Amino acid sequence: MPITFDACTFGYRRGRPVFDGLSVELPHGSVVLLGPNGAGKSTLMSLAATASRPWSGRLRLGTLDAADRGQRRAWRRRVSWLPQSTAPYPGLTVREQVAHSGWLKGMSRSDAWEASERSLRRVGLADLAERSGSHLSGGQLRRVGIAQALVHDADVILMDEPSAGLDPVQYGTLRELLRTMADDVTFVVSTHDSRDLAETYSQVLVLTEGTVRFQGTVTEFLALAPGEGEELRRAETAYRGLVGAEG
Amino acid sequence: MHRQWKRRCTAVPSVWAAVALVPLLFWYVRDAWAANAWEAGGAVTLTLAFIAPVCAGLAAWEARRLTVAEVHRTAPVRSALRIACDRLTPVLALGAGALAVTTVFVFARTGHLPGAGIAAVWCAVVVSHVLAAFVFARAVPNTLGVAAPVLLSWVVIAYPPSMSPDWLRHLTGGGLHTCCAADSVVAPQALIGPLLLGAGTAVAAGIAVAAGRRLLAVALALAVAGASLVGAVHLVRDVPATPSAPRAVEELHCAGTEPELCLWPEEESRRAWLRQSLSTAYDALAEVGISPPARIGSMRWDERTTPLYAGEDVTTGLVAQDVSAGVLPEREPDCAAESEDYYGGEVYAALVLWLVFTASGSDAPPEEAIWPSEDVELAQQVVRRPPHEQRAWYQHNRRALTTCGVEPLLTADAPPRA
Repeated sequence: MPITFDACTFGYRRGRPVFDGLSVELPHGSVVLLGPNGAGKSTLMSLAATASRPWSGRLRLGTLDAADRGQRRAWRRRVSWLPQSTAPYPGLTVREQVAHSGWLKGMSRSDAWEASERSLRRVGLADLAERSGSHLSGGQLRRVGIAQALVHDADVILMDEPSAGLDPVQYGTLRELLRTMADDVTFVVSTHDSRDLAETYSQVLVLTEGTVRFQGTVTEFLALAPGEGEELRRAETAYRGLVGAEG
Repeated sequence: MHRQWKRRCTAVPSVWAAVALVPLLFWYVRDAWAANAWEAGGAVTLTLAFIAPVCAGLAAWEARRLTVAEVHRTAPVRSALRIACDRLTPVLALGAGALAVTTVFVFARTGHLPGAGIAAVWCAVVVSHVLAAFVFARAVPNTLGVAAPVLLSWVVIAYPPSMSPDWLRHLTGGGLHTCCAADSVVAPQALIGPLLLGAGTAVAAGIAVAAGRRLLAVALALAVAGASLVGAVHLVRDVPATPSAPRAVEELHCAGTEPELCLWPEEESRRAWLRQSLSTAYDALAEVGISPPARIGSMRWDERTTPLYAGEDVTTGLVAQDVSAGVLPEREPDCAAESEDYYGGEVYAALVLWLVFTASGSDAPPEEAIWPSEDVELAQQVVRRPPHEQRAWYQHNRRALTTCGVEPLLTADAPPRA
């Protein structure tokens, strides 16, 4: 289910828009969002999650319009969002925190409780389910955040820097998770990490200073760095070519 | 599932707060005394100084948890108001439960159940403190956001009852603990005022929770809160320190003659005992030629009626005292204000005591009041004199009480012949 930005303008301060008339479509499939710091990746995610509202322009998820209050509820039910940081919910265990996220996304308490167990198993945190979130490491907490994003079986999953703080093993688990999800849902991942692009994603979107510098398939993206060589190096070369020295 | 519920109970701070709060409330009302439902309500009202701050603190803590967990950043489907209700339900349940438990304690101790009106005020106060604390803690996302509502809630409940002007105390229901004697009911304004302010504050806080920091919502919330404050002040501004109004005379049931005895419905169970005590007193006074009042009742609604205390702890001494007070004139003669040779006040206490001794057949002063020892001694000496001398002493001093220029007889001797 694609998310369409149609001439959207948005910023955090009047007169200083992050996006000025942005038009872009986040297509169905697995999309990686690349760009330097301050390019607007997190803001794009926030708008796509309807956590922020554009000053002007239209934002649509399939036939749903984000400006419509009733449709926004349906939108939020279909879209889950992992923000840049995950905070523990004081006084709750990991499973309770994940279940609470499901409830916040409109699930019944009993359904959310059942789903929380599945979700924690998917991110490899089942054995920490009864532990307080306050006692987890940064990487573990990040996985709790991912479990929260997965708990309500959304059609679209937006993840802002999901691999931040993960060790190589945890990163591998995340990559496998994303691969398995690719067939069922649309997911958009914002990251600085150019590893495993071809294996994990089908589409690449590069943002700089609030504008789309590139949108296409991974193959098209890697083709920007012609020649032989390992994928990571080609991806970095392609990326640098698009964003220049700031990247 | 059982484990989940058990965990849900132990994870809710309100459950732990209840464990600490309920014994404190029990301790606080352990000596509660009330002669009627209003006084029982007053006893429970005093415990708001504990219940409201605890609930406000818990509400602020729930707001802080939502802020720390950045719940509203995750674009939830549930509305902000629904999420707040979910977090505040245990807090409100604690408030309602604490009030209910305290009411049961007071009822068990006094046998009187507070009315629905005063209970509505408690609920309005607790709900408004909870919602206001929640909004405050959402706006001030640090430790101060949790600590300040506890302190503010306590100050708002505990301080106004001792402050001037009087209407300040009635804004928060703080004056209700001084209400009411059996012959009065609470002034409606003293109930509606805090109800209005509590409801207005709660609605304003609800708007703030639902609409967030949007300018229009903040303005609307402030307007609602301000309007409820102005309305509440307008209602209570003329309510005296004790927020009571006379009870409807129609509720009194009058029966019998010599005297006609008028009692409130809740005093009917004591009618036979009172009738017996009154007969004894009236017969004793008649023996010395004194005609006691023809009508006596729990409320004085006209000049002909002598007030009688008919509470649960009434004694024959108190009955004799009320009858005696009804025999004597209620106020000094008009000449006392203009003339310097009015001395009746000097003998008033001795006259009352003599009447009480005569009516009760005992020469022990009533324990319910403190009497000057010289008046007690004088009355005791007079009551031992022959009846005709007692009567002459009484008539002379009664004349001194009602006339200027007549010196009272402050010894037990018979008065000089006129």
